[in-house]
Amino acid sequence: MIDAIVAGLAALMTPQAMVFMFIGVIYGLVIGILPGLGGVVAMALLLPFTHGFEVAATLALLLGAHIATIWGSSVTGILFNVPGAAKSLTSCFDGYPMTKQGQATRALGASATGALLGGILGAIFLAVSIPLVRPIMLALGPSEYLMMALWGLTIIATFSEGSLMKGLIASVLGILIAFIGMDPVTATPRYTFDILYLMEGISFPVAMIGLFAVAEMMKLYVKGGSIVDRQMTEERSTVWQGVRDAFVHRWLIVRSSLLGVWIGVLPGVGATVGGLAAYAQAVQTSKTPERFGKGAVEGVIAPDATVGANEGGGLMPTLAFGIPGGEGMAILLVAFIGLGVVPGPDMLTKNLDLVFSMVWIIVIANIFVTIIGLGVAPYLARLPALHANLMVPAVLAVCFVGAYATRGQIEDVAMAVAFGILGYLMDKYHYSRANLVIGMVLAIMIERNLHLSLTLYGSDFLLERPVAAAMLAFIIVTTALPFVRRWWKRRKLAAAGGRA
Amino acid sequence: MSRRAQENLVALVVLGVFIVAIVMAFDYGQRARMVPLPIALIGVVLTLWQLVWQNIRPADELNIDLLEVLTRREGEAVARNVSSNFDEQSAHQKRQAAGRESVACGMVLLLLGLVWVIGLLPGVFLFMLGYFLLSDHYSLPRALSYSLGLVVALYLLFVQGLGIALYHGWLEEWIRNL
Repeated sequence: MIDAIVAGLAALMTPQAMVFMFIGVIYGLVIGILPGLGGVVAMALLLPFTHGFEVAATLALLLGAHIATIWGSSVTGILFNVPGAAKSLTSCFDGYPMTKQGQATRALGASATGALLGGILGAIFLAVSIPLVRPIMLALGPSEYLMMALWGLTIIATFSEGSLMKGLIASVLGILIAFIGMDPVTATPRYTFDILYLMEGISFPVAMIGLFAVAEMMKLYVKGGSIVDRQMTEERSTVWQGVRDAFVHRWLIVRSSLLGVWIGVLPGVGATVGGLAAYAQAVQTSKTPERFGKGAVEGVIAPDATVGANEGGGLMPTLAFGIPGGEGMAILLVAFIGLGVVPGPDMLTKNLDLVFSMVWIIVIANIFVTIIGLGVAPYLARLPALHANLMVPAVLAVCFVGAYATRGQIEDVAMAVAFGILGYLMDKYHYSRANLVIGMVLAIMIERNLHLSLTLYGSDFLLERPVAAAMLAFIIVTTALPFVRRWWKRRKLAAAGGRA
Repeated sequence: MSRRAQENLVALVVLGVFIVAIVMAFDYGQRARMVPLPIALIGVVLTLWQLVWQNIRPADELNIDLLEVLTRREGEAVARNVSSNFDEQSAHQKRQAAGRESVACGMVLLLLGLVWVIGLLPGVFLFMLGYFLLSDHYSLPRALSYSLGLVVALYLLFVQGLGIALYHGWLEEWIRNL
């Protein structure tokens, strides 16, 4: 194994591989920052340029771009409340409040360092767990995936803007919106009103561009001025504060990274669920959960560490079984075929050096991203201070083109506008937009795995699948924990007051 | 319209959406409606609960709900006193805010219309130029250079860099069909 680790690194130490990785990282950062275009688009657009080069260099280009989009899409979430991709939705929850408090540079530094440490820990966990993970992966079925999705849903109970009840209503609305289109189980068109465009369903990036970007620009226009009034709130933080925050919360990063690897290993779960679950565990394990949603730096660090580590985990099923862990890994699988690499159990025995090359790419690309990120963060942090008269038309223009670019349909632009108006109204009347997106993301996963569980194990599938039952118990305990802790704190305070 | 009336209107619209979802779900097979139907029913229950609750609470507590009371949730809600602040605003302030909201909405719809008719890049260019000039923030040369700069950047990034064929607009199609 040591030989494979060294050989994997040596394959990357060529000028071509290093230059390709650097180009991939810069390209990924730009694509990540553009709303609607995430890692999948970044890799898909690079595919035609991957023929005729060294295998390691090609993988460095693809994976480097994919990894850079993680931080790139968090940047817009933190600065403008506009997540660049669904997986960075959670960066808005605390990153944007930090920006409004003059802590944007710190948030960007914490995000970059969180993603770096998550990426490195994820790669290490992956390298160590290669022999262990295979039997675990094979033991899990749809019932366990259903529980994973339900875990992501528990975040709604712990995070709602303004009103818990309205937060729940928003998430129910999001779940129903996700059902628009062709039902994947029965092929029944649902809630399509016989409109051909709706058969494909609502695109997540388009909905997010509308709900966050368009709605935020409408809000900014109504408010006037700029997102952050520098005369009122001076930017007084530094990237080093963010770096320090990440190391202070090192155990949160370790937990989040483990979660990221675990979610990455599970085929089809994806980084979006990972980010949500990471945020939920950060809230649930915090001693001061009430700070979350108002600018808690842990709320920025945990999801980025998870999404960073998720890439390493996602490689596992892709390489070992040819089952992509997510959409990004599906593109990588296509690249493998083009390069003549055959994924399968042999990858973990005969081609182990190539596997470790990819582990090293994750580590080195994350280092590149963090160095660049920490360098440009102070300049990026100035963007929210730009006046609304420049920001509103410019951001709207980029959003409209971005919405069109996701699927090449003009109807998507109209849909982004509809979601923009919906997002503005939701924000005005305190129906959580984040909860709506969480509902949308998790709905399909819940429905598909529920159907599969019922088909495979019958209506009492929880009795048939003890691991799923244990996961359900874990979800109930972790969801109830903040309430129980608060109740206990109040009781102690009341007892202390009574004694005084 | 008072804040409570607005909140009630929004809740009624949401309730209507859930009821439509339930009615439509009955047209689907048992498996196709297995998840949407109960979800929409939960939505109806939650919205009715919210409607009743927001009408039996004082106006300044519109954003505190029964769940929060039951769980004794701590922390400040985002705009807990928004309703009382809203009702304290003068009629002139309310009219001004509503006017800006209408303009914001109209502006987004105008950009959509421009894009639909003359295509993405020309639509974006015209919109930006018009916005800069009407907002009186920039002089004509600066407005022109900023609008042109952004459109060129979008063209280079999306068309040249990413190879995406952008929408050319209904007008071009119409002229071609003449």
